[in-house]
Amino acid sequence: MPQPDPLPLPAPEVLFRVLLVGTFTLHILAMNVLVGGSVLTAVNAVLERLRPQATRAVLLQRAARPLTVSAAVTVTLGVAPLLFVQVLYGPFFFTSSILMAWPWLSVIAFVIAAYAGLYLIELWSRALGPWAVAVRIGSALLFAGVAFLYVNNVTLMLAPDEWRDIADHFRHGLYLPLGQAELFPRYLHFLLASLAIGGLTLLAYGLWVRRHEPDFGDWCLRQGAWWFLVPTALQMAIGPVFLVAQPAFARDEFLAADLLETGVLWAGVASALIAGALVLWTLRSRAPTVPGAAAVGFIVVSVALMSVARDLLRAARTSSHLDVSTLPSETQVGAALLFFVVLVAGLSTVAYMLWLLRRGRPGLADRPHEGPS
Amino acid sequence: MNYPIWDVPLISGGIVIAAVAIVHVFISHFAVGGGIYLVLTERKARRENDEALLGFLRGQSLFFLILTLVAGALTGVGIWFTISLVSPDATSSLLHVFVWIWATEWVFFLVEIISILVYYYGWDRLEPRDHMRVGWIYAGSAWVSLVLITGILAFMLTPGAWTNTHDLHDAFFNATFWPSVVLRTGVAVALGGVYALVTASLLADQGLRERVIRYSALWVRWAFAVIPLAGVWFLFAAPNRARDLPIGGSAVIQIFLILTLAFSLFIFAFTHLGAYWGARRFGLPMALVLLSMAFLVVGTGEWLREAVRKPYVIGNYMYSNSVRTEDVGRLREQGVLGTALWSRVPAVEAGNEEEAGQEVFRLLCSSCHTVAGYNAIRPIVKDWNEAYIDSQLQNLDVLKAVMPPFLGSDAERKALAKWLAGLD
Repeated sequence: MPQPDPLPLPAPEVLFRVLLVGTFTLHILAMNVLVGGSVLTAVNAVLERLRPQATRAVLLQRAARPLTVSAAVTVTLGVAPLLFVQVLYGPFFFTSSILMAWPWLSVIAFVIAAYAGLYLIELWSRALGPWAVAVRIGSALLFAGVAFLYVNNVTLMLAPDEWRDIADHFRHGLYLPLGQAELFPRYLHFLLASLAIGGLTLLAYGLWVRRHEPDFGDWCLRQGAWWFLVPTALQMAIGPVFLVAQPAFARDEFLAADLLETGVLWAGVASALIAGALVLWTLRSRAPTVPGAAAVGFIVVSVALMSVARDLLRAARTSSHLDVSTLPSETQVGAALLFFVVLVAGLSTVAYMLWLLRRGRPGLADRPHEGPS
Repeated sequence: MNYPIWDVPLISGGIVIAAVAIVHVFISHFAVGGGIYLVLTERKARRENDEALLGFLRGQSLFFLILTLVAGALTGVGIWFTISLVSPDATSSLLHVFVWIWATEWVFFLVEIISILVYYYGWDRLEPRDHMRVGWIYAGSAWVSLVLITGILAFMLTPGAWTNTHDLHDAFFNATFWPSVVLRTGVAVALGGVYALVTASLLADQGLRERVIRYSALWVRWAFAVIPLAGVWFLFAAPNRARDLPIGGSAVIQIFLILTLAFSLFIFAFTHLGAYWGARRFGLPMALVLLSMAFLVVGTGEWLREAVRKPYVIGNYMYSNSVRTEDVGRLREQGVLGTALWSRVPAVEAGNEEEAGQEVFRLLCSSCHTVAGYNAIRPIVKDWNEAYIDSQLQNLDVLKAVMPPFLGSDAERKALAKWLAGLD
């Protein structure tokens, strides 16, 4: 196990953990929309090739820009948790990254390619003709692959007992922890959540747009609801498998042995179940806005609770190797204050710009898009 | 010493960092200079009621958006990935000093990304005044990002008083911080102009094309009034050791300095004579030559910045092979094989000298040298015998300014000499 850095943490551990979990929650929500949305539109593009349908064509056209924007947002929001996980869990994270160096580094190339694909679709979809479907499938697969590599790394960082052996046998950073029991359940857990949240995003869009385009809005709402419900039902099987795949001491903490761990995890599960019930209600209701919006709220709460549970699991599994809560700290008060002041100012600036965009002449921005040529 | 070593045959980890970092620097400086270019040119176009120029800017902003978001932002994340794979100890040190600066920079990055999206998607939607405001927000936040990251990069060369005080203020406002900020701002503005020359050369409207080419060439010219001055300032602020390397201390580094200056001069002359005076004939091929030259100068310049820091990764604090200067005595006494956490050979023993020597090479030398690829060791020791290699190793830092002293025990040094002598 690598030694912690001899320099002290520049703030108490708990502050970094709060920032880590907070920014990770935002990142993972954006990632869910991006990955789920990419898969959902790729599937719809294939269906559109097989059996053209006007509503589907409209959806594919309108989804293009939100996808590129969510890619930008996902990447941006991902930088902060990367920063905080390195400062807190460096000895774990650096080691696992080095052991799978090339697959880990390929994440960058995959994201660039997938992201470029989304821009091809947004700007030159028509010129691509039949290739557009291939580009959409390619982007969706690449994003799903990136998620897989991330799950590999966060799984490997929790297995310090195996590092020595891996380091002796894989000198060139070409290892992947494919044999880890929790790897595939963990990956499926994230992938299903992405599909569900991609679906829920479509449902929310349907609720919004049905005020002006009732038929199209209802079509989106129904399709989104099913994209949410089926993966969420499957999640009820995968989630427990993921939990069972944990080492016994960690698993037990989430099964009544520790009140906090147990409470957070099961409150998260309950929120997701309530969201599921609300989505079913949305499908049947004549006034679906209220249950639909509530479902979105419960899913956000569920993702936040699951992010906390994920952090508690990591703390439980790493503390016997290196307890990061005991790391010495010397707070850089001025710099920390600077960050929080800038954060408030930055978020206000973002809000101001979005307000400007919303206040602008509506409709004009929805004009069909033209490339630079 | 604390982390496993990622063996990258032939090219070494340093080249992997360089490959990602040079592309990132080339795009991210454009992201700063191009942002200033967009908003100032938009102001000019609106004041002069120049619809054609506004049309050009709209196209330019799309190119800008895609390049900076897709390639710029992700290669930035790529630098994070590569430095933590190649120099995890140094990355960890920098994080422990600067995490709040980085976190603050992240907020500016967030504002930058959202503002460029609003700027581009707002062409049809925002009032001209609001659109310009968003442009200014973009340009400002991108430049502050540059300033914050520059503080960290300059610290790696000149940590100055921080080495004793461990105070963030000393670390950030270090000796080369201000000259670096001015130098990088100049480079950013020049790149803003160079990229605009590329897109301008594609314009179909002959009159507009010539106008935009001459106008963009001026950006490069003004930047070049600042860059050499900032460069000289930077050299004066740099420690003697770093200043001596490119002016005779190391032949390779000197060549790179000459190349950097030659490429820069070429860009200046080519922009002036080719683009400004010959705007009519300035087409895409010429613009691409200019862009390639700019890429080369960024590449050699960044290589130079890294090279003059040698033998340190963080000046006076940590050597390029991740050994902290404070640990040197302990390593000399206890040996690197017994100290390094992931060493595969625990100690030099009778009979294992060559194996131990190879492991010492991996631990202490492989962060910069390969056996037979980039910065290869084999050709250097080719005709040397074991005793001569050993005497070189004993005086590494005296014989070569870019090298640290040998950082292992006497037995390890002899084992390394034996292994190196057996290489050819």
